[in-house]
Amino acid sequence: MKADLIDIFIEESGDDVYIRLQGTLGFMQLAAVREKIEMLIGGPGKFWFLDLEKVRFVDDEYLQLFLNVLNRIKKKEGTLVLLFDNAENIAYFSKFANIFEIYPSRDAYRRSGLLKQLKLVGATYSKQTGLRLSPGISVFLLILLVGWFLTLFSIIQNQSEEIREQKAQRMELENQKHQMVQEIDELRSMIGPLRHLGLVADSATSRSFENISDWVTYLEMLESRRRGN
Amino acid sequence: MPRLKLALLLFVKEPFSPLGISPNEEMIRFALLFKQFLEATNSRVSLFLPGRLIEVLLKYSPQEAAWMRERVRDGHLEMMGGGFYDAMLPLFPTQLQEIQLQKYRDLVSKNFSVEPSGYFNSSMAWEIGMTETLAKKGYEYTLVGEESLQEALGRSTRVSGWYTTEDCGSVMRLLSVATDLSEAISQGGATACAKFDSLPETEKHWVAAVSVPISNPELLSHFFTDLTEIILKQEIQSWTISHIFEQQFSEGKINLMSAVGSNVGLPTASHSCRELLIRRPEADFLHKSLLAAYRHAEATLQGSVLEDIQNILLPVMAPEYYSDLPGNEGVQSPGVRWKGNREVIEAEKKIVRQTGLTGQSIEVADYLMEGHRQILVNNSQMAFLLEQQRGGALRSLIYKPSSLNLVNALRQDGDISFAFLDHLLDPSLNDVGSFESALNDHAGQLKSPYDYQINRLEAQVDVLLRSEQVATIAENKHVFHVDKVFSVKWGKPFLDLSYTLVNTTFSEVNGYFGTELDLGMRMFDKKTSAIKINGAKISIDFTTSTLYSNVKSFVLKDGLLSYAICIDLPREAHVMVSPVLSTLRSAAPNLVQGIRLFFFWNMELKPQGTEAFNLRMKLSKRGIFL
Repeated sequence: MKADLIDIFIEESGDDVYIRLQGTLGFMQLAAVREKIEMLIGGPGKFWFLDLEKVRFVDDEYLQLFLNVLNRIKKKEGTLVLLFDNAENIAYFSKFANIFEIYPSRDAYRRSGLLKQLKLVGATYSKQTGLRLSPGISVFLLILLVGWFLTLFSIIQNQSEEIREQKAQRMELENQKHQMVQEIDELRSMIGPLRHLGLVADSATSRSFENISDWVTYLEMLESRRRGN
Repeated sequence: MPRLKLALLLFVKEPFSPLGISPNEEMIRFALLFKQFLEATNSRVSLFLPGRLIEVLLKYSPQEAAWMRERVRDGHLEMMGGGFYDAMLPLFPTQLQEIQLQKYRDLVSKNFSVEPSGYFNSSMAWEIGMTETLAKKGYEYTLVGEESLQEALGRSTRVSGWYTTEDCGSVMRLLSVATDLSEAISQGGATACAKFDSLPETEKHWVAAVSVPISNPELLSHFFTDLTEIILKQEIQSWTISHIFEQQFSEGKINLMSAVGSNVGLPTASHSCRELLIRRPEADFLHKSLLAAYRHAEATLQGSVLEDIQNILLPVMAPEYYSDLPGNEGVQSPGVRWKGNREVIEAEKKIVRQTGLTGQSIEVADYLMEGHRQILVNNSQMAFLLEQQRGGALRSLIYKPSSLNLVNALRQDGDISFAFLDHLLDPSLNDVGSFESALNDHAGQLKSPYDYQINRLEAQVDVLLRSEQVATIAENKHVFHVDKVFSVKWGKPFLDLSYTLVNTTFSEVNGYFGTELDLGMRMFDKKTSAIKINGAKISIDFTTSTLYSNVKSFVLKDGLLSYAICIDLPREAHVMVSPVLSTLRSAAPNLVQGIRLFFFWNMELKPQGTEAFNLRMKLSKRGIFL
């Protein structure tokens, strides 16, 4: 049985598919390996980690097989990562070292760059499709955006409330000012006859206050005088 | 007449407890009686206690432990070394052997201020490959049964004293244990006295290794009373075992490849404890599961996390999980099998948790080390081992939330228990007895190897098996093309199984097509267990088999072990429910080892005709929503 010639281990985790082959792979096993690998990559998955650390290749045909696998995965907009760290396999794949992504382990691949990390968390970009997000990342970004909008809305609400309060305060102060101006006018009219008789000196119009144009300045001046300046 | 010189080793086996209850009372009683025995006889003895019992002794009988430490110091007591869980070390990888030995050594040297120089395990199993490991851990000698040495030397006369053996540049001393004397002492009373009287006069030491029965208080008390009496009455000159090496020279070199051991349930013709794994498929499966868990942990974990997993696996190396014995002493006990499987499943679950993976995997490898590969399918809820080379049947079906291996029945005939083992039976069968005989005869078993394909789908995996199966019905051979598909949803304890049979011959075939499940289980009781067929509860008599027709659904629940199996049959089927019984020693079969379910359909296949059957299995803890 061809199918019974190789040890395979397959593990799925989200978009990651980890496939580990073991044993000595020669011409006898080639058909079985081709059948099994092609069967497995026909299923769902985005990141294909092919662990060849415990494989010993004794036939060059496997290079062609893995190139075909790479092409098929690229067509599916997936990524194929070969995992091994032994010198024998590094030499075996040396001709195509620039074509295959080769890392010692899955962790090494994950640590290898920001772009890959982005890809790994589920954000991918291509010319044909633009930015594509995995369902997990989409939900996360949606929650983030909704959060931002809610925060902005609450800030605007708070600021409007503050403006309304300040407006009310200003109107109240203006009313008070009008009342006081009226009271002053009344008081002036009351002391008007006395001033005409020359009995009262008008402190408000005296020289020392000629530069004072409002009540705040007046009160400040009184305060500074009280302090002895 | 010179006084008889006896080097006596007393050893205690840890009592098996399915729920892991510590034998505190038993050890307190043992410590008191052991102290009284040594004080009364003033004899010198060697003692072996498994690591867990030493811990109990130190915790609950600290005074006696301190007293024993003093006796070790003045040479009246020798602490023998061994595996922490009294493991059958030859069956396991070197690293696990070393951990057992080191853990025990550390415990003894810390608490008794002595480094043990002798290695002992209660099953007395020995293989020459252990020489290097034992020597590396500082052991100088080990005990082997006299009959093993007789066989290696080609002698039928008594063999006493010690021999040396070497392997991989390391040397080990093998000390002969008089098995007959050991048995006589354990029987006590007149038998022991008669045995002592019958021993030939010699200046050499006799060595006996005697098990102390701590589980039964009366037996324990009786044992020490008898032993005291024998030693005083026979005026025995007692010595610790290591003393022999000071007093006697080596008898020569020996090439003892293996010693089968004692008390493991193997017949006398056996040569190695490894034969246990061949004789008992249940022990073999547990052994291979342990090795697989060990390999998984080694491949994925490191440091203290790896040590945690190894520590979970160490107790499953104890002899009761591999001995072919009944009554909580061996794998014939359903409780022992349940606990062994449970420990390994727990270890696997912990490995998955520690690695942070989903545990959704398919592994095609020679899991059972039989020279061909099997398919191990895992999701977070269940796992099964599919033997595509043996008729595409399941060798195990594990329900992870209850840490239970359901395909676990021990069969009296030594056959392997399977789930979904297919049969094609003669249409002339018309009663339950004839169906049972046909299943036992294996005549209609569809056991040809299958080719496999793994189809990965969204949130599901299908294992497609395809083969040409040959069946003999009414003396005629028929060839069928069979497609058998196991479908598993990731993260759900559901298993769908579908069959498509094509008659590839030009003759019509009538018969019964069915699939058999041998589910291991404890004895049924009405309070916690139930079987429902088509929603109606049925009463089960576990002495006879029963046949039911027009079955659409079958539910089996066990509240104590927390599992329920529901099998839905879209096409109505017949089902035979029968007990899997075994004998307790030589009595008639009466020990319930499991339940055999045989679901079958009437099949009428025209030439080149096709028939399809399927069933859906759901597992749950309580079975409420099934």
